[in-house]
Amino acid sequence: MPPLLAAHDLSIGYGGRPLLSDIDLSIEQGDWWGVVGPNGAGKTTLIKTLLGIIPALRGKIERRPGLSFGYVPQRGVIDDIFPLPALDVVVMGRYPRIGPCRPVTRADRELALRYMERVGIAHLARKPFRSLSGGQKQRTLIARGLVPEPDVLVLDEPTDGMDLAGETGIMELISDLQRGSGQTLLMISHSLNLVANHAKQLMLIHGAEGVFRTGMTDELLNGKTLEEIYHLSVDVHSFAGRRFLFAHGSTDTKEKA
Amino acid sequence: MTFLDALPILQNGILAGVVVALVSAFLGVYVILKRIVFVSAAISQISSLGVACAFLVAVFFGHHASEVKSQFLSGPGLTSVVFACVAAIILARQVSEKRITRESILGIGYLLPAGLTLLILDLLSAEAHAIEDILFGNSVFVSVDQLRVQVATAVAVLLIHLLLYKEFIFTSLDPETATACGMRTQLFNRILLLTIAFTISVSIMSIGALPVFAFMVIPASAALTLTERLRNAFLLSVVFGVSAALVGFYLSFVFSLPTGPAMLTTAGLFLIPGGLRTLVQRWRLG
Repeated sequence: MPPLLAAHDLSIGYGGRPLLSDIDLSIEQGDWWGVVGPNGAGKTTLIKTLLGIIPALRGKIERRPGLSFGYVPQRGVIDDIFPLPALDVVVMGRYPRIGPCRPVTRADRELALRYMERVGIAHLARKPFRSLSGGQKQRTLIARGLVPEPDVLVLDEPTDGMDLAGETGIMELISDLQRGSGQTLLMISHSLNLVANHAKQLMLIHGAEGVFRTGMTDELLNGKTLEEIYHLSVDVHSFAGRRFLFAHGSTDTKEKA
Repeated sequence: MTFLDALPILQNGILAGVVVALVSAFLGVYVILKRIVFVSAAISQISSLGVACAFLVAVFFGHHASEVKSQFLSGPGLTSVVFACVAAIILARQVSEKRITRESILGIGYLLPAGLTLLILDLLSAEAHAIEDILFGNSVFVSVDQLRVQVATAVAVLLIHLLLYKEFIFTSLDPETATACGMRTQLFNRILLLTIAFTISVSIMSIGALPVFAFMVIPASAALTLTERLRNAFLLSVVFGVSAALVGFYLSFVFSLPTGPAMLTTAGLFLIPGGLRTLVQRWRLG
């Protein structure tokens, strides 16, 4: 069975300037990838390149014929000036499937409502999107990402700026989706602790250092690899089936000292 | 002479005003939602430059302004539309904002054509009256040809919007997600801007740049402060725009006021309910 998505010798960046080169990766059905790295490392650039939002500078991206994506952007991307009920925002996920010049059907709206129910916000369907809380907005966008029933769901910092309860709720929802239906997931996050406890596979990126590592979470989460990415001394501990990561300060500073 | 007595003479002007108000107020919802108010201002100036250039070239080759005006659709009307559409395609491109901001580009796109148009008007001062008539519109007396072009433009633009409503809304709200899901975001954005450019360039020759700009901004702004449903915002905006055109036209006749500013000011009255609603909401929130 060929992978859903594969990149060979990929070079990513903006305006002809490469941010990261020699990227090789393969995403299979049912994978749960966490994409992590420091701020400005190139996480979003990589994902946008894989999705076709920005062009690759070099290399090849192979997508399985008919491969479809659901995309969950950071919730701040949605301009609150739009007067749209939450259900209308979710139905938008169906638009590419419906195609131009065709109306939205009752079946599309019912499907959207089903996915709102699945993420626990069916009661908010008629509420204006702009009046929802951060967590409710994020759930609405996850429902929109799911409603085209995509092969791969891509989430960009879904817990950014949330409190502990919101963060836990969203991560439980994402994990449930993966466990329940084997949804292939790609999630960008700057929170290594969060990703370490949910994602099965990791992409560790540091564009400025030219570092790109992929592998199983268990294999990649070790002090040596994390030091290479973050320039920090990081301890990885396991307790009650969960991983905890502790940073001890910059290794650069230690070297200088 | 009463308004009813003058109606046979004024009817083309009234119809043109209503059609311009209808289509501009509809498109205005996108203009406000996409935060591209100054794109429409720049396009109207660039479109005016197209008209002025047609006259400049014609006069340079020895034609009189009145001849150019009589061949309106193949002359200044055409250059106006072409200039506006080219401007829309250029302005639809995403720019890196590291060295020059989008606002700067729009400011330059507004100021340079405005300056050049004034220079051309000064060069052709003997023919200025004929040119200004087209450039700034004459809301009262609109020719049958101009009215036909106006109606055909409105029908075509509204038809495109009816067919591509979903695509325009999704790509305006969240272009990145739309692209990621396989939609041709750039194409739809270009089509949307082209419909706006086409409407502006045809409409300013009917009723003038200022009222067209006003119909693109004020009714939609008023509507968006009153509703939480996008479809209602489109409907309210059109109702406000058409009402402002009709009432403004009537008031301008009764009180001998300039028609464009009368329509613009009437449109401004529709901002009051939304403003009051916002004040009440803030007062309730403390």
